[in-house]
Amino acid sequence: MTAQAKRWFRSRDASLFWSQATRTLIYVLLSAWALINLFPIVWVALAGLKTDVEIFQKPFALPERWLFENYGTAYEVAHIRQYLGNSAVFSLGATALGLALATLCAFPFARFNFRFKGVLWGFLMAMFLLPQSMRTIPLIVFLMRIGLYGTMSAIIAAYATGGIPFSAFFLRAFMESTIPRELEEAAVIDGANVWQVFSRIIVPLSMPALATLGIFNFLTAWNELFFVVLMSRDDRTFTMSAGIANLSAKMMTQHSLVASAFIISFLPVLVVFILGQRQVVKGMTAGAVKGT
Amino acid sequence: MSGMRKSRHHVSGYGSSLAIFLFLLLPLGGYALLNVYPSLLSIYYSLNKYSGLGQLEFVGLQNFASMVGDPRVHTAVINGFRNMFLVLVIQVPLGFILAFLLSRVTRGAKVFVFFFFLPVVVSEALLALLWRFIYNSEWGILNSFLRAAGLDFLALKWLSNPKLAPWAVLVPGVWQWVGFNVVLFLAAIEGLPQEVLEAAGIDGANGWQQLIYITLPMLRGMYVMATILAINGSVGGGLAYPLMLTQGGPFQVSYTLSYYIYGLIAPRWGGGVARWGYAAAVVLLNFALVSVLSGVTWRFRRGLASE
Repeated sequence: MTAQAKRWFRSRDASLFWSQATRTLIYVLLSAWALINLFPIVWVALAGLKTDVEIFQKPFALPERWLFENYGTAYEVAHIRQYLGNSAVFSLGATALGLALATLCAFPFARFNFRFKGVLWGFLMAMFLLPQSMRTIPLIVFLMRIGLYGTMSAIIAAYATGGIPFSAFFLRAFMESTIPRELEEAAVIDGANVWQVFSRIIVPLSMPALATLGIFNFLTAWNELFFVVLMSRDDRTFTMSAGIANLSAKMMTQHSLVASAFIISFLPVLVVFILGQRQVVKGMTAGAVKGT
Repeated sequence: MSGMRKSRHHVSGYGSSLAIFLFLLLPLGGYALLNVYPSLLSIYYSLNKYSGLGQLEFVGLQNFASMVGDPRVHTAVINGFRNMFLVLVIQVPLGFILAFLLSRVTRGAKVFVFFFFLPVVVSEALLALLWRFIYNSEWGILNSFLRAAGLDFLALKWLSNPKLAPWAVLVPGVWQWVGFNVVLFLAAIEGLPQEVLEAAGIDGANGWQQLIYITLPMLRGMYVMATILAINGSVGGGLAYPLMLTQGGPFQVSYTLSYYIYGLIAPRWGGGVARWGYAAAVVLLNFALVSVLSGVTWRFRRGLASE
């Protein structure tokens, strides 16, 4: 290395250059992964607006004519309207029921001492470690016996109860750390009973936690495949996820329709994620971040 | 109602035993009936032969013996390990690297997190559809790209080549969950005590030294947690990808445990007769594998902590 070069490397110009270069490199790498995630989705969105021939011949080109009617066709042909409706009913129903049960469950654990409290809580958390798939077969048999197998309400109830341990864990921690006990104390002194404390103080003040859990549970339910398919007698209770898995086999050869179906089912998830990104991320990572 | 009974929390006296019981009745009752009871019953089912119709037939440990000689179980377990390998070698480290890079960025971090996390919130069924478009050997995104780059010899039949198919059904899951790891590690990095890093900076440690001597060791706990979560999620191998990309083929090389269990329970799409007793046994095998592997990882963490 020449003396001049050495001098340059030690100069402020050089350190400025390197920090700029590093920053640019970091942005390039981050953008590369973002692009890898985004590109296929954009490709499929465009494929949904093309003819099949165009997909084969010019996979990377923009559509020659933007066939927005493909989306309408997919919506009609592919039972997508029905699946979207089921997804909405299932996801909203399971989320609402699951949160209601988990809030009822978390409150006594957060506020009272009672017999078997530790044992019950430990058991609930231990059960959380069991995989969902374990209960599936006996659950199907049980629901068949009582004549509820394949009904939407049974699917919702069964799915919603499965989420109790995690939601109760999250809510109990929130209630214990965030909701001040003085409020309850004052209410009790003013003659409020335990239900009034719960419904007028605990539930309203738990709203931030409920919002996080709600968005997270909604998306998880919306995406559920294994459970919904196995708890369904036929495609009348299929959600979007299950319906897509079922349909993709039938529509193998109509690529632009499949692509349109993809986008139609992707949009609701995208909207929820855009609106609730922070809550989604928080809900999904809460268990792990707390566990370390 | 007595306002102040003796207890740790001074207002806790206002809940009578009856009230507590009523609060817990529905959630715990529902959980016991629809989760605990069927989960435990599945252990008994695994000792029976049962097609879903008629009576259970007790066969003892025969289902477990059959698994030993079942080539699909072998394939599924091997693919579970392949998946675990990919996840531990690619997904978790890549998640860490991207999180570290994100932590050095002042502007646009939120936008990146959005795009990184996006696949995590989309259903596997939907992404499997996407990957069919990526993998299609004639006009798919991957091969079109390779041909455009002059790499025609690499434009392979990803889903119908028996050597490639087992990996091809695993890659989408590995890709999908990278963003989850990014967010885990980003939270951990942001939670690091800033004073330590600042002190190191004042003492003249450069970015690399800070990373290797401070950030990495302090993130070990999160790394173990991410590893355990990754093991939990990877051994089953996923359902939607094998189901929608290969149907376990060609020649049953891309079976995963989740897909096999699914086919045993609901043969309407998988073909054959429902074997619910056997399926219950395969579920237990899956659970046992996951428990042992996460248990070993957990012990490894304790070993590190006690050093």
